[in-house]
Amino acid sequence: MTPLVNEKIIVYKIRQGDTDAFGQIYDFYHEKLYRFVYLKLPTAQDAQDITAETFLKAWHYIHDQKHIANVQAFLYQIARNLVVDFYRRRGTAIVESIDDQEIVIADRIDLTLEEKMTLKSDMARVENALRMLKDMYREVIVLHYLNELSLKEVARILGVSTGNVRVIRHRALKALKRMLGEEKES
Amino acid sequence: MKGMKRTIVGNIKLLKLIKPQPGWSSATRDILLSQIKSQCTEIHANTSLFQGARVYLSGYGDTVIRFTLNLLFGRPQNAVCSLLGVSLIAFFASIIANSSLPGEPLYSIKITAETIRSSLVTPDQRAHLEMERADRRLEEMRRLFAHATLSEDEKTEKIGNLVDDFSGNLANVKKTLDSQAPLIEPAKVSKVAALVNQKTEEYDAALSVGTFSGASPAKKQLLDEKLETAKNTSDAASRKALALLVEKKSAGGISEEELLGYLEQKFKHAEEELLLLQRRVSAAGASQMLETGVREKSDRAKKMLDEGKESLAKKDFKIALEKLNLSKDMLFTALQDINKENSLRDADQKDRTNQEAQEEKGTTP
Repeated sequence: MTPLVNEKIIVYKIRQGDTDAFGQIYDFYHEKLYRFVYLKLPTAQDAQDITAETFLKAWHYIHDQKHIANVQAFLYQIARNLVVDFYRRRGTAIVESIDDQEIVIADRIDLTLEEKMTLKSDMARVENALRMLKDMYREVIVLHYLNELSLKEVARILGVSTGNVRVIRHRALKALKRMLGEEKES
Repeated sequence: MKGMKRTIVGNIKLLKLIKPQPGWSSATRDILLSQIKSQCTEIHANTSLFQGARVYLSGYGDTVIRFTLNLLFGRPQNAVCSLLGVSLIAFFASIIANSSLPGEPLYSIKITAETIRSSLVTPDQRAHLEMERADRRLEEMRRLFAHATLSEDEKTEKIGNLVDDFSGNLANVKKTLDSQAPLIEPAKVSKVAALVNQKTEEYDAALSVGTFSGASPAKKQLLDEKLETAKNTSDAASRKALALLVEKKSAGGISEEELLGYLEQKFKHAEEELLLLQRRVSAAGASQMLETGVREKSDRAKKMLDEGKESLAKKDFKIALEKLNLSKDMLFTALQDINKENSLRDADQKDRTNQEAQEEKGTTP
């Protein structure tokens, strides 16, 4: 994944109070962050709230001149912590219906209606399986495959070694395969 | 194995289609930017470039090169945070979010922004912010009260939730006073405590508004209980504030005259409450036992108040405050006795009414 160009300059501008610079951070990261928290939270509404809160917290942190080594890792860390707080407040979360999932299939004008329905059904199956994984497994899958981060970047966000991430990725894929009952391709 | 993996990964990548709705993305962007712009202007309006550079340096050990860059290329904080670049959409989005009520789409953004602000300001600002939030909750309650389209039950429920939030804000004020007062200079503590003292008096008056006559009894009762909790929380914050004012007087945080003024006002309110209580028990047709009990308690409360006023005259503020608090506790228990008897009487009346209705119909209970 290509990092945001001139991130250090953007951070410097944010420290000076340049809110347009912060807008660039939002534009670049908000969809990925949303997807990351959406798959950890019960509803789309919760994902929206946590995403918005992540950016607000990030603004204040950067603007208060605190040191940030890496904006991407920093944003994901805030989001993870907010999700932990969310469940701490709410107790054991029950994964609610995923009928409100924010799937923008309408963009896929190349598909017929039947193909769109099949796609939606496949996605629901995969999403269900992903939500049943252990948290760490799910995080690695989402960050590496959906948000296209390298294993090194994933390791930095999760605070573990790259080797560890590699092992977790392998185990996560194995668990997902078991759940989805995939067959060997010939 | 590699083939299997590709199938799994292919399936996983289907979920890349999960995105937020475009409308939410752009609205949130606008609201976030306008919120931070307005905060930026507020916080940095009086910060000089030198102060900004000093904070920048002292907190994080930046190098001389960065300091020089800042001086040469940095602009005054208030100019950078100028609102000239704000788009019309962001401006209106901000207004809409700030004026939204519970249940409306942008209300959660409003609350989120408030929460973040509260957690990231200095301790002496935190109490201020929590009181601002409490003010906003009160304003929202007033607007809900006057809402044209909501039913009485809906209003009661939403106001009940706002009262809970309001109680939470006041609890945070007290918590801040408890934890931060020893760490901040006495003059600042006194200023915050004086504000808390003043605000809690306003809140007591605001919370004494009646509940909705059209709401269901269960919802009405729940709201009454929540209002009672909010009043108690407000009282706890007020007591803490007064205790701090007395404490900081000796450290030079507040003048004797000012403290005397605050305490005299508190004594005056307590006496008014005592008088109201006595009239209430006389007018309510209370039982003999209740009337006697309440009279005893109000006599003891009166005695405490008189002793407290004597201590106040001698400038013994600590004892005066203790007596005031004891008097208020006494009045509170007397009020609870009255409320308890009234509830029993109401329940009794209801049973009798039901029984009469059934007898008229000719059915046996």
